[in-house]
Amino acid sequence: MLQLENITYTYGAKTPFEKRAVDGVSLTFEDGKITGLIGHTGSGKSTLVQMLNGLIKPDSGHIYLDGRDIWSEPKKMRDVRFRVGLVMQYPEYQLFDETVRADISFGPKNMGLTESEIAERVAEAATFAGVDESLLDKSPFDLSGGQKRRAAVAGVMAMRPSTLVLDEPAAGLDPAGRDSILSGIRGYCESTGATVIIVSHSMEDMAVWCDNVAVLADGKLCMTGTREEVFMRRDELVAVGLGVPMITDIAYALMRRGFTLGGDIYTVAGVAKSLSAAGGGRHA
Amino acid sequence: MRDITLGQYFPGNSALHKMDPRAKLILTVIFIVVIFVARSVSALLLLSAVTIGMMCSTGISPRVYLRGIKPIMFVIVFTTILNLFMTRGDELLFEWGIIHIYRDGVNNAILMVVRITLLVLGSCVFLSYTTSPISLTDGLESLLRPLSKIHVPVHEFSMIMTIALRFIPTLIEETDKIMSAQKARGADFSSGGLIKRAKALLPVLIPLFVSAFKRADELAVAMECRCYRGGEGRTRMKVLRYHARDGVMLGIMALTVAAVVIANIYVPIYRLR
Repeated sequence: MLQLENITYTYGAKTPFEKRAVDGVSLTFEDGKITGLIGHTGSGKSTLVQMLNGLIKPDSGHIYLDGRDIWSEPKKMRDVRFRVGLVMQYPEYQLFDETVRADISFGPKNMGLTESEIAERVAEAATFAGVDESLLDKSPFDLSGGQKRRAAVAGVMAMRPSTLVLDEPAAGLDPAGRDSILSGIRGYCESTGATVIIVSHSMEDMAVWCDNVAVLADGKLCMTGTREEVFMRRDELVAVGLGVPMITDIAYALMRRGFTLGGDIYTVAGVAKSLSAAGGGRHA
Repeated sequence: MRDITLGQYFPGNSALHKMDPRAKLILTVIFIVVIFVARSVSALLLLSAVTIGMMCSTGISPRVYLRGIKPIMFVIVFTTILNLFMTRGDELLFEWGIIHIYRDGVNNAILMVVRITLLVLGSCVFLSYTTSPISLTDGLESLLRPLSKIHVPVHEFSMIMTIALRFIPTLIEETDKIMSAQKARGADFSSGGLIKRAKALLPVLIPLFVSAFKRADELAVAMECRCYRGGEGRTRMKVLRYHARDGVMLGIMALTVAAVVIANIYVPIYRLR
């Protein structure tokens, strides 16, 4: 369980470039759920996630991991980082070792695990992240963009963190690559019961893969709740420059024209399902 | 990583900011020479006054200048110790075992510290803080152009310098990013002995090199796409021109040089050996 209490962070304090990136954010991330952190470019998402594993120290406020303030013992920050796995934005650049296998082992090795345990975790993480067995002995620099991304995600999953944070894990991938990486994250969440936090600005992805959604605007938390609760407040989302998934807009338009759509109006599959039921009713 | 201010440009609107980079380069060279010409306390005081005046005229915060001195603190301390203990003189101030401190040693130490500080502050105020890297290399290229007559590839050198300067902040940013990513995987850069620390840097250096080479390739292609063919026949959007203020500044510098020489000869309060 990860809790934020009144987190504030300012870039370049006391210089002409001063900017308050995160402003009084309090938030609780639930275990076993995927929370989507949505916000416009420059809304403070990336700054916030770098505070979750102690890469950045908040100017004020507290971050509690399982009830303990992570800054109470800065010397033990490494342990916090093993428990809160962070996949940074465009994580491909973190690959460095001779083989993909060795690179995924980097985290577990730093944890001081035994050889056999490392091998087990590498295999597990590779499966979750969708890194094919045959790629493990290749050089990470020979992989394609999507494969590199998956290898980098596996490198963090291999630490088996109880909280997994991913900053734009699907940015710049093609639709197939996006779905495969996000479904792998869903799989990790469900089978380990981990707290998962995904940063994104794609409402479509959030609608499909997240349980809860938190919306950041200008460094402030402006909405939080389940996916349905947040996407219901369409006008407010539009006001902060985000909007709702395209399919939700279409569903609303259809409802105005007399269709009755119930249940999930946030994903294409959900709308298709209720539309075929409703459409069948109209034609009859 | 963020403390590298030596060689960082602060945009502004002062006379020094607006000067022609060639004039500023000449000014800096003269200033550096004159620092070593100044041998008496009076001359160095005069130079300090001129430097402080110039610093104030740029409108850059004094704190920024202080930060510029921080990286050479070690050199300053080292020079002080060396001068303090190694200079022999007539008047012994302090003696303990093999340590002898003479009045000349104290004087030398103070004067050398002033000199080094002026050297750094001067190059900051005349060049790096008030001149953008691009106009600096433009100025350098223009000043060195006569050398191309004897087949020195002046344009190529200046292009290399421009590109290098342009990518320093990018590389620093990238290093920060990679370090964060590896720290997130439990990398430890701050404990252990020298060898362990050097080894810990490998996961940072390898991706850094890989991306630097990739970026170089991409930059070369992008330049060729815009028909870059070297300096031959290249025209410029911003053509360098001398203005009245360049003459005024060089005049002030000439007066300073004259004043320093006079102070050296006629007010020799204490002369450096």
